[in-house]
Amino acid sequence: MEIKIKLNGTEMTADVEPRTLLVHLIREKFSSTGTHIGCDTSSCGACTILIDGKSAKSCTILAVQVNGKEISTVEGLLTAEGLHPIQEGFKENHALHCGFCTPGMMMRAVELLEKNPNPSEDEIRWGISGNLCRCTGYNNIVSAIKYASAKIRGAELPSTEPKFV
Amino acid sequence: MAGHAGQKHKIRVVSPDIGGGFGGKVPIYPGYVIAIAVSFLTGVPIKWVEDRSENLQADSFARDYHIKAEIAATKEGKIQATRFKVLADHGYTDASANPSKFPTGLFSIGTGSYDYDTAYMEADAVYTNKPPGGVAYRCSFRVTEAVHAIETVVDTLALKIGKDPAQLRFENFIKKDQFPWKSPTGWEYDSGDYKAGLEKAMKAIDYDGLREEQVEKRKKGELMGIGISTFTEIVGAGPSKDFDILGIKMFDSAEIRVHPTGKAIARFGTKSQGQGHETTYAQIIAEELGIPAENIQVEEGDTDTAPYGLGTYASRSTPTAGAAAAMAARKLRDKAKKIAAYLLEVSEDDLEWEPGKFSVKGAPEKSKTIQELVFAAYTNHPQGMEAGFEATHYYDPPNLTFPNGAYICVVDIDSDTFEINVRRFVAIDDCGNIINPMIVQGQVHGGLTQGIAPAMYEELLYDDDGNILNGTLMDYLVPTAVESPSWETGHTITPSPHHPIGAKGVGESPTVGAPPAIANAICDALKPYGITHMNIPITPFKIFKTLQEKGLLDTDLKI
Amino acid sequence: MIPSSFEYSAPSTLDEALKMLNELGDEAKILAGGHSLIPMMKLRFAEPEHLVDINNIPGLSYVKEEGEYLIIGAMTREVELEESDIVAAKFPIFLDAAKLIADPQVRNWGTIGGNLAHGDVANDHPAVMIALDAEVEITGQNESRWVSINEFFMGFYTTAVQEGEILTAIRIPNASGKNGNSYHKNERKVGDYATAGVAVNITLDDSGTCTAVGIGLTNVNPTPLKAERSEQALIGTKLDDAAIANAAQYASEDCKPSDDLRGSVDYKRRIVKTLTKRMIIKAMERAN
Ligand SMILES: Cc1cc2nc3c(=O)[nH]c(=O)nc-3n(C[C@H](O)[C@H](O)[C@H](O)COP(=O)(O)OP(=O)(O)OC[C@H]3O[C@@H](n4cnc5c(N)ncnc54)[C@H](O)[C@@H]3O)c2cc1C
Ligand code: FES
Ligand code: FES
Repeated sequence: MEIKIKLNGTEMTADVEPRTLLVHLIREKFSSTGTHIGCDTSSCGACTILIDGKSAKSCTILAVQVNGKEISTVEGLLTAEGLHPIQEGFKENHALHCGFCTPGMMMRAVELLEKNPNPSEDEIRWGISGNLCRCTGYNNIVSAIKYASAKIRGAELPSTEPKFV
Repeated sequence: MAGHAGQKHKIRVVSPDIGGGFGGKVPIYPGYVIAIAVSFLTGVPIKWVEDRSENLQADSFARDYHIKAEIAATKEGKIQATRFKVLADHGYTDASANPSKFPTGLFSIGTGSYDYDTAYMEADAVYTNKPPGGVAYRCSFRVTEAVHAIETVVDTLALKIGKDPAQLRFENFIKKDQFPWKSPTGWEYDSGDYKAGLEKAMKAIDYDGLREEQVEKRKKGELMGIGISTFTEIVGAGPSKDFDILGIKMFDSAEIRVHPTGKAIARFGTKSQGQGHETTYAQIIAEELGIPAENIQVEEGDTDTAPYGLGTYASRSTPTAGAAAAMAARKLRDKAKKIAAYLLEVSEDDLEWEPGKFSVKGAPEKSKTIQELVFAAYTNHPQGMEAGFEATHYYDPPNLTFPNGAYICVVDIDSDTFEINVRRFVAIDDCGNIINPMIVQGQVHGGLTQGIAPAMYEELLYDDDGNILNGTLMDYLVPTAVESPSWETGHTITPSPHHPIGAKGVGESPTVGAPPAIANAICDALKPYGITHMNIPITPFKIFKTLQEKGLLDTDLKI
Repeated sequence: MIPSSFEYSAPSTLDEALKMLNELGDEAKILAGGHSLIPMMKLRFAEPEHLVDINNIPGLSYVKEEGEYLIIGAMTREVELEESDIVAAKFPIFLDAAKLIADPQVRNWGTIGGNLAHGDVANDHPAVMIALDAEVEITGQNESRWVSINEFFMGFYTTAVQEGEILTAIRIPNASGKNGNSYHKNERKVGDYATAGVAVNITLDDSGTCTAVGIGLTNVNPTPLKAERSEQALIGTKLDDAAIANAAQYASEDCKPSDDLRGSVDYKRRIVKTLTKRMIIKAMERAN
């Protein structure tokens, strides 16, 4: 089946079998390997992307279902103006170690902040509960999202110095 | 493969960013070998992809240690002796890259942080029809298992004799001035200040306040528990006299080349999988040579260019390759000094070093920066001296390092559903000198979540026929940001006396130290039910079963 | 993990979809949010020959009040329920449930219709709908009918939706009097299916006497369970401690959970008992 999508702003077409999962289209046909695959049961969130601005697990959606839609992946976060606030937040707060979960986490966080520009810690934790991270213990991911929230709102940026008891 | 083909020099392994490791990437899996063989046979590149279900079913596993731990103490609680007997499930083959001389790894560290001189340890390993076992999952060779045994049995002792577990620990700790300390099983602990760590953790969490709150809660029938773990880790394998893997000594290496521009490339025999080597190693070299860290490019993971090394696992990278970096940098500093003496026309003894430059004692205006000296190494070096500015060091550690920590956790348990909420968790680590606080803290956060996992969630289950029962992430329960509490971390600093920069490893301390703290907290909460020990993972359902078997639950549910 | 091959169509009207479903018969499966179906297809537990995607059909996604009903279009996503003002005001039970259904990404896609039509006793909406005494609109090529939720779940993954039919809407009667509803499920970790879940919907008259009540149970029975004895134990009472204790006890006795990784039969009964009690109290508080 011939489908047409907008991937990070660029029109793309592809001929896919109906059973092709969106994540495979993105990774294999469009060579955007920032979107990861971490499980086969829709449990890990490594494959999270945005479809018309809504976060989705691209391993649980057929490529044919997004015909005509706009897809945003981690590759689209960086713009001419530099890092996206969420990328800056992750970088400044040491919110990634191995980086496997990071693209999915960031894409999820983008929608989270879109809907709730100033989330509490609890709202952030529940908001990323569909994304597993094996490395960071989540503390710094929470800090990164708070940082991005402040940056987007134009509020004072929280300190990125590690806090010790 | 290289061995079989006898052509090691023709084989190149390149490892780019590969995701986390945690021990699971130590073994050689059949898939690797088959992919290589198929590539030889077909002459085309072969990619082997393992999906998550295959990964859970067939990858190596860790921790299947069934331990019987006994402790002997005086009536007052002074520990006299311990005896651990282990039945270890290693699956169909042992997957661990274990030091040859230590078939049970470093399990004999299990006498812990306590001052006593009699210990007995025995381990029987068995092969089963499970996947390859015995891997060191974020743990330097069985240390998690050993620490779990000692830290929970100490608490069992405290519960049995009715002594506060913190007090019991204070009365038994090896004291600061007893280091270096020879353990009953023959290890020489390098340094530690266990009392300071526990005091700091208790203050941070308000231990006394929590105990008061617990008394009130118990009166109301509410289940609240406080758990402590004061563990000693053993990392940085290891000294060549004792440590090898199939004959190859467990050194690690660094190779630094500073270009005429003053910018450097440093190569290592280790491989970061998210531990931040690029940052930490660059900082070590920067500190030693006075070159800005951002001018140092760290490269790992290419067998064509990397010096020989044993790799990254068992918290060994900073203790070994980090030390090698410092030593190689010092060799370069010595060379720089010779060049400075030549250029400034003074004797080496007349020179003073401050980060970034050598100057003449008493005449600080006469100086040469490291960048000038490096440039001179290529353009104007003394006659007879080899040109260039590069050094390699293979570091053979004189001893292992013994990081340690004091962890305290508070749990609340729902007395109807037995759901466990980790309300607070304070972790005070001592990994000696800290090179990068943000990275060390990040490692601790991550390790703590990996500590809560086996304590409360993760376990591979099999039916009687050996079929895996929870072979997907639907049922193999990896904690999310909601299960993971907001970690509170801190440190005490007791440098390692034998490490070039006084650092110890840290990556695994939290995975090692957290499970007993949580298990102890849960047992403490269940103390009113007479429970003094439970095997991990401790789930709400397991609590229910335990209480039911003891006949302690309301009987009005019998149908 | 890739599903086995199938044909795919995405009709743009309901009539077209119904026609297609009738022609294809048992070869076809409806694709709604896909978040139950696609995981099953990836694991090859389901291998339909033809998928009829109903996402492009306009007019199936809405939350509205009409007459004495709250009506929810079958293709309404979980997230749309979560964000609906009507729901927040009158049916906090949906917010209780939504928070515990999977995760935000899944809730962006999963539909209410699909959650019911899947016929999975582990899903959360069945119990919620039982408590709310909902009716389900099933549309066929020639007619559409309303089916009580109590007659909807027929067995293991089977419902009253027949071949060639589409679940198009759900309607929930507005309560007369003071009404409160609540849901909670016990789960091993966030995103997990329920070990056991309890939905309660209570209506009180001015004197505080319970005039109507619905109680639904998740994942403790071969099909989603209406806890009738528990309901009877509350009707006409002032929801005193004894009445609540009886209702909780009956619920724990009347369900038929199975032993599995989530726990033993006894454990699940204990959860049901606890949650029934807690949800009655919570619904009662909300009603007041
Ligand atoms: C990781 C994960 C965790 C989850 N956890 C939970 C949970 O905790 N609780 C919970 O309740 N659910 C959970 N779900 C399931 C999720 O809520 C699904 O979205 C929901 O069960 C099905 O809705 P859907 O729209 O995705 O249906 P689909 O997957 O599209 O369809 C499911 C079935 O219903 C049929 N169908 C769908 N719509 C109609 C219709 N309108 N008319 C007739 N037949 C139809 C389909 O043919 C198919 O057989 C989880 C899913 C995932 C992936
Ligand atoms: S790959 Fe794990 S949720 Fe998509
Ligand atoms: S950074 Fe490694 S999984 Fe999150």
